[in-house]
Amino acid sequence: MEMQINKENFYDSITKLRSKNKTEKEYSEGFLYLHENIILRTINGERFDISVLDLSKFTADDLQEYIQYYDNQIGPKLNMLGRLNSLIKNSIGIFSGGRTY
Amino acid sequence: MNEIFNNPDLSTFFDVLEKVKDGYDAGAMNILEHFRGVGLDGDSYYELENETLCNSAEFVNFEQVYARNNDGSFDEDGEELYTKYFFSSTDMTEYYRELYRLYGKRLISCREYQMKRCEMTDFVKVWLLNTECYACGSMWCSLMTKINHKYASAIRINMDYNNCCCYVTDLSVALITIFAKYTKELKLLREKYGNAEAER
Repeated sequence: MEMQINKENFYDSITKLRSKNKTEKEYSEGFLYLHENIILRTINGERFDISVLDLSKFTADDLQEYIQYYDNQIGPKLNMLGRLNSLIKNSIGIFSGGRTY
Repeated sequence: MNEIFNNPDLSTFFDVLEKVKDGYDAGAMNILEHFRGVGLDGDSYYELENETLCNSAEFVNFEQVYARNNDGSFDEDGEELYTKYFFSSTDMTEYYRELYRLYGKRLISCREYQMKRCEMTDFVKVWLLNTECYACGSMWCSLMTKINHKYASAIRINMDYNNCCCYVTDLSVALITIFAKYTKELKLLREKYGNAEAER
Protein backbone atom coordinates (compact mmCIF):
# COMPACT_ATOMS: atom_id res chain seq x y z
CA MET A 1 0.00 0.00 0.00
CA GLU A 2 1.37 3.37 -0.92
CA MET A 3 0.86 6.48 1.11
CA GLN A 4 2.02 9.96 0.35
CA ILE A 5 3.46 12.00 3.16
CA ASN A 6 3.02 15.71 2.90
CA LYS A 7 5.68 17.17 5.16
CA GLU A 8 3.65 20.34 5.73
CA ASN A 9 0.74 18.70 7.50
CA PHE A 10 1.92 15.24 8.56
CA TYR A 11 2.49 16.14 12.20
CA ASP A 12 -0.74 18.09 12.31
CA SER A 13 -2.67 15.22 10.81
CA ILE A 14 -1.73 13.10 13.80
CA THR A 15 -1.77 15.61 16.59
CA LYS A 16 -4.74 17.69 15.54
CA LEU A 17 -7.97 15.84 15.18
CA ARG A 18 -8.89 16.63 11.64
CA SER A 19 -10.58 14.23 9.35
CA LYS A 20 -12.90 14.38 6.42
CA ASN A 21 -15.90 13.52 8.51
CA LYS A 22 -15.46 15.30 11.79
CA THR A 23 -14.08 18.52 13.15
CA GLU A 24 -12.37 18.69 16.52
CA LYS A 25 -15.49 19.99 18.20
CA GLU A 26 -17.46 16.89 17.32
CA TYR A 27 -15.27 14.59 19.41
CA SER A 28 -16.27 13.93 22.98
CA GLU A 29 -14.22 15.11 25.95
CA GLY A 30 -13.25 11.54 26.71
CA PHE A 31 -12.05 10.97 23.16
CA LEU A 32 -9.89 14.10 23.29
CA TYR A 33 -8.56 13.08 26.73
CA LEU A 34 -7.42 9.73 25.33
CA HIS A 35 -5.78 11.38 22.33
CA GLU A 36 -3.92 13.89 24.45
CA ASN A 37 -2.76 11.41 27.06
CA ILE A 38 -1.83 8.49 24.86
CA ILE A 39 -0.73 9.75 21.47
CA LEU A 40 0.30 13.35 22.02
CA ARG A 41 2.19 12.50 25.20
CA THR A 42 4.12 9.76 23.38
CA ILE A 43 4.76 11.72 20.21
CA ASN A 44 6.18 14.51 22.32
CA GLY A 45 8.74 12.11 23.72
CA GLU A 46 7.29 11.17 27.11
CA ARG A 47 7.45 7.55 28.28
CA PHE A 48 3.87 6.30 28.48
CA ASP A 49 2.61 4.23 31.37
CA ILE A 50 -1.01 3.12 31.65
CA SER A 51 -1.16 4.33 35.25
CA VAL A 52 -1.05 7.98 34.12
CA LEU A 53 -4.58 7.63 32.77
CA ASP A 54 -7.60 8.71 34.77
CA LEU A 55 -10.25 6.12 33.96
CA SER A 56 -13.05 8.38 35.12
CA LYS A 57 -12.36 10.87 32.32
CA PHE A 58 -13.61 8.73 29.46
CA THR A 59 -16.34 6.20 28.84
CA ALA A 60 -16.15 2.76 27.26
CA ASP A 61 -17.82 4.25 24.17
CA ASP A 62 -15.17 6.98 23.96
CA LEU A 63 -12.51 4.30 24.09
CA GLN A 64 -14.21 2.26 21.36
CA GLU A 65 -14.49 5.31 19.14
CA TYR A 66 -10.86 6.20 19.78
CA ILE A 67 -9.61 2.69 18.97
CA GLN A 68 -11.43 2.85 15.64
CA TYR A 69 -10.00 6.29 14.96
CA TYR A 70 -6.50 5.08 15.81
CA ASP A 71 -6.79 2.00 13.61
CA ASN A 72 -8.14 3.94 10.64
CA GLN A 73 -6.35 7.27 10.87
CA ILE A 74 -3.32 7.37 13.12
CA GLY A 75 -1.99 3.80 13.03
CA PRO A 76 -1.34 3.66 9.26
CA LYS A 77 0.42 7.04 9.36
CA LEU A 78 2.67 6.04 12.24
CA ASN A 79 3.38 2.76 10.53
CA MET A 80 4.44 4.63 7.40
CA LEU A 81 6.61 6.98 9.41
CA GLY A 82 8.26 4.09 11.21
CA ARG A 83 9.14 2.45 7.89
CA LEU A 84 10.45 5.74 6.54
CA ASN A 85 12.55 6.13 9.65
CA SER A 86 14.11 2.70 9.25
CA LEU A 87 14.85 3.45 5.57
CA ILE A 88 16.64 6.64 6.56
CA LYS A 89 18.60 4.81 9.26
CA ASN A 90 19.71 2.19 6.75
CA SER A 91 20.69 4.88 4.26
CA ILE A 92 22.82 6.58 6.90
CA GLY A 93 24.60 3.26 7.42
CA ILE A 94 25.39 2.96 3.71
CA PHE A 95 26.41 6.55 3.11
CA SER A 96 28.27 7.19 6.34
CA GLY A 97 29.71 10.69 6.58
CA GLY A 98 33.05 9.31 7.77
CA ARG A 99 33.75 7.48 4.55
CA THR A 100 35.38 8.93 1.50
CA TYR A 101 34.87 7.60 -1.98
CA MET B 1 12.05 8.55 17.52
CA ASN B 2 10.13 7.07 20.43
CA GLU B 3 8.25 3.88 21.27
CA ILE B 4 5.15 4.52 19.22
CA PHE B 5 7.08 4.92 15.96
CA ASN B 6 8.94 1.68 16.54
CA ASN B 7 5.73 -0.24 17.06
CA PRO B 8 2.54 1.58 16.06
CA ASP B 9 0.40 -1.55 16.55
CA LEU B 10 -1.40 -0.76 19.80
CA SER B 11 -3.91 -3.61 19.65
CA THR B 12 -2.54 -5.31 22.79
CA PHE B 13 -2.47 -2.06 24.70
CA PHE B 14 -6.02 -1.15 23.70
CA ASP B 15 -7.16 -4.65 24.56
CA VAL B 16 -5.72 -4.30 28.07
CA LEU B 17 -7.12 -0.79 28.44
CA GLU B 18 -10.62 -1.92 27.43
CA LYS B 19 -10.59 -4.69 30.02
CA VAL B 20 -9.16 -2.45 32.73
CA LYS B 21 -11.86 0.12 31.96
CA ASP B 22 -14.56 -2.58 32.29
CA GLY B 23 -13.20 -3.46 35.73
CA TYR B 24 -13.08 0.18 36.77
CA ASP B 25 -16.67 0.74 35.64
CA ALA B 26 -17.72 -2.30 37.69
CA GLY B 27 -16.28 -0.74 40.85
CA ALA B 28 -12.57 -1.63 40.94
CA MET B 29 -11.41 1.93 41.47
CA ASN B 30 -7.79 0.99 42.17
CA ILE B 31 -7.38 -1.33 39.20
CA LEU B 32 -4.75 0.78 37.45
CA GLU B 33 -2.33 0.27 40.33
CA HIS B 34 -2.19 -3.39 39.38
CA PHE B 35 -1.24 -2.58 35.80
CA ARG B 36 1.45 -0.02 36.59
CA GLY B 37 4.33 -0.42 34.16
CA VAL B 38 2.23 -1.33 31.14
CA GLY B 39 3.27 0.83 28.22
CA LEU B 40 2.10 1.04 24.64
CA ASP B 41 4.07 -1.95 23.42
CA GLY B 42 2.69 -5.44 23.98
CA ASP B 43 6.00 -6.67 25.43
CA SER B 44 5.70 -4.51 28.52
CA TYR B 45 2.40 -6.18 29.29
CA TYR B 46 3.49 -9.76 28.63
CA GLU B 47 6.39 -9.29 31.04
CA LEU B 48 3.98 -8.22 33.77
CA GLU B 49 1.13 -10.60 32.96
CA ASN B 50 1.87 -13.30 35.53
CA GLU B 51 2.95 -10.80 38.15
CA THR B 52 -0.37 -8.99 37.74
CA LEU B 53 -2.29 -12.24 38.16
CA CYS B 54 -0.35 -13.11 41.30
CA ASN B 55 -1.06 -9.67 42.76
CA SER B 56 -4.76 -9.61 41.94
CA ALA B 57 -5.87 -10.55 45.45
CA GLU B 58 -4.72 -9.91 49.01
CA PHE B 59 -3.76 -13.57 49.43
CA VAL B 60 -2.62 -15.65 46.49
CA ASN B 61 -1.17 -19.11 46.56
CA PHE B 62 -0.32 -21.36 43.65
CA GLU B 63 1.27 -24.68 43.00
CA GLN B 64 2.01 -26.75 39.93
CA VAL B 65 0.41 -30.16 39.66
CA TYR B 66 2.55 -32.75 37.93
CA ALA B 67 1.68 -36.07 36.35
CA ARG B 68 2.71 -39.19 38.21
CA ASN B 69 6.07 -40.67 37.41
CA ASN B 70 6.29 -44.34 36.48
CA ASP B 71 6.98 -45.23 40.10
CA GLY B 72 3.83 -43.38 41.17
CA SER B 73 5.58 -40.46 42.84
CA PHE B 74 5.01 -36.76 42.10
CA ASP B 75 7.92 -34.46 41.39
CA GLU B 76 8.97 -31.66 39.10
CA ASP B 77 10.47 -34.08 36.59
CA GLY B 78 7.00 -35.25 35.62
CA GLU B 79 4.80 -33.58 33.05
CA GLU B 80 3.12 -30.43 34.35
CA LEU B 81 -0.64 -30.94 34.21
CA TYR B 82 -2.02 -27.68 35.51
CA THR B 83 -1.48 -24.87 38.03
CA LYS B 84 -3.70 -24.61 41.10
CA TYR B 85 -4.40 -21.03 42.20
CA PHE B 86 -6.01 -19.95 45.42
CA PHE B 87 -7.19 -16.32 45.66
CA SER B 88 -8.63 -14.83 48.81
CA SER B 89 -8.95 -11.68 50.87
CA THR B 90 -9.86 -10.76 54.44
CA ASP B 91 -12.82 -8.74 53.18
CA MET B 92 -14.17 -11.69 51.22
CA THR B 93 -14.26 -14.00 54.24
CA GLU B 94 -15.40 -11.14 56.43
CA TYR B 95 -18.30 -10.47 54.05
CA TYR B 96 -19.68 -14.00 54.46
CA ARG B 97 -18.94 -13.95 58.19
CA GLU B 98 -20.81 -10.65 58.62
CA LEU B 99 -23.72 -11.92 56.56
CA TYR B 100 -23.93 -15.06 58.68
CA ARG B 101 -23.70 -13.04 61.89
CA LEU B 102 -26.50 -10.67 60.80
CA TYR B 103 -28.66 -13.64 59.92
CA GLY B 104 -27.87 -15.27 63.24
CA LYS B 105 -28.94 -12.12 65.07
CA ARG B 106 -32.12 -11.93 62.95
CA LEU B 107 -31.13 -8.56 61.55
CA ILE B 108 -31.68 -9.96 58.07
CA SER B 109 -34.23 -12.53 57.01
CA CYS B 110 -33.38 -15.94 55.61
CA ARG B 111 -34.53 -14.76 52.18
CA GLU B 112 -32.34 -11.68 52.36
CA TYR B 113 -29.39 -13.80 53.49
CA GLN B 114 -29.79 -16.20 50.58
CA MET B 115 -30.38 -13.39 48.13
CA LYS B 116 -27.19 -11.56 49.09
CA ARG B 117 -25.17 -14.75 48.83
CA CYS B 118 -26.69 -15.47 45.41
CA GLU B 119 -26.00 -11.95 44.22
CA MET B 120 -22.32 -12.30 45.03
CA THR B 121 -22.13 -15.77 43.51
CA ASP B 122 -23.70 -14.42 40.32
CA PHE B 123 -21.26 -11.53 40.25
CA VAL B 124 -18.31 -13.89 40.61
CA LYS B 125 -19.75 -16.21 37.96
CA VAL B 126 -20.35 -13.45 35.44
CA TRP B 127 -16.80 -12.17 35.73
CA LEU B 128 -14.99 -15.49 35.82
CA LEU B 129 -17.03 -17.30 33.22
CA ASN B 130 -16.65 -14.46 30.74
CA THR B 131 -12.88 -14.70 30.68
CA GLU B 132 -11.04 -15.89 27.60
CA CYS B 133 -9.31 -18.60 29.64
CA TYR B 134 -12.66 -20.11 30.58
CA ALA B 135 -13.92 -19.82 27.01
CA CYS B 136 -10.89 -21.65 25.64
CA GLY B 137 -11.42 -24.48 28.12
CA SER B 138 -8.10 -24.18 29.90
CA MET B 139 -9.51 -22.95 33.21
CA TRP B 140 -11.95 -24.34 35.74
CA CYS B 141 -12.86 -22.66 38.98
CA SER B 142 -14.86 -22.84 42.19
CA LEU B 143 -16.05 -20.44 44.86
CA MET B 144 -15.63 -21.30 48.54
CA THR B 145 -17.64 -19.40 51.12
CA LYS B 146 -16.36 -20.84 54.38
CA ILE B 147 -15.75 -18.58 57.36
CA ASN B 148 -13.70 -20.64 59.79
CA HIS B 149 -10.43 -18.74 59.28
CA LYS B 150 -9.06 -15.54 57.77
CA TYR B 151 -8.81 -16.76 54.18
CA ALA B 152 -11.45 -19.49 54.33
CA SER B 153 -13.56 -17.92 51.60
CA ALA B 154 -11.73 -18.05 48.34
CA ILE B 155 -11.75 -18.54 44.62
CA ARG B 156 -9.92 -21.60 43.44
CA ILE B 157 -8.77 -21.71 39.86
CA ASN B 158 -7.04 -24.47 37.98
CA MET B 159 -5.22 -23.33 34.87
CA ASP B 160 -3.99 -25.67 32.21
CA TYR B 161 -1.29 -23.54 30.61
CA ASN B 162 -0.40 -26.35 28.19
CA ASN B 163 -3.71 -25.86 26.42
CA CYS B 164 -4.26 -22.18 27.11
CA CYS B 165 -4.46 -20.16 23.92
CA CYS B 166 -5.00 -16.76 25.46
CA TYR B 167 -3.57 -14.20 27.84
CA VAL B 168 -4.69 -13.88 31.44
CA THR B 169 -5.48 -10.16 31.34
CA ASP B 170 -9.19 -10.53 31.76
CA LEU B 171 -8.72 -13.12 34.49
CA SER B 172 -6.62 -10.61 36.45
CA VAL B 173 -9.21 -7.90 35.79
CA ALA B 174 -12.01 -10.26 36.86
CA LEU B 175 -10.29 -11.14 40.14
CA ILE B 176 -9.40 -7.54 40.97
CA THR B 177 -13.01 -6.52 40.25
CA ILE B 178 -14.46 -9.38 42.32
CA PHE B 179 -12.32 -8.62 45.38
CA ALA B 180 -13.09 -4.90 45.07
CA LYS B 181 -16.77 -5.84 45.04
CA TYR B 182 -16.41 -7.85 48.27
CA THR B 183 -14.71 -4.89 49.95
CA LYS B 184 -17.45 -2.53 48.77
CA GLU B 185 -20.30 -4.86 49.74
CA LEU B 186 -18.81 -5.49 53.18
CA LYS B 187 -18.62 -1.74 53.78
CA LEU B 188 -22.23 -1.29 52.64
CA LEU B 189 -23.37 -4.16 54.83
CA ARG B 190 -21.69 -2.68 57.90
CA GLU B 191 -23.02 0.79 57.17
CA LYS B 192 -26.55 -0.44 56.62
CA TYR B 193 -26.86 -2.91 59.48
CA GLY B 194 -24.32 -1.46 61.91
CA ASN B 195 -26.71 1.36 62.73
CA ALA B 196 -29.69 -0.98 63.09
CA GLU B 197 -27.67 -3.10 65.49
CA ALA B 198 -26.65 -0.06 67.55
CA GLU B 199 -30.27 1.05 67.84
CA ARG B 200 -31.23 -2.35 69.20
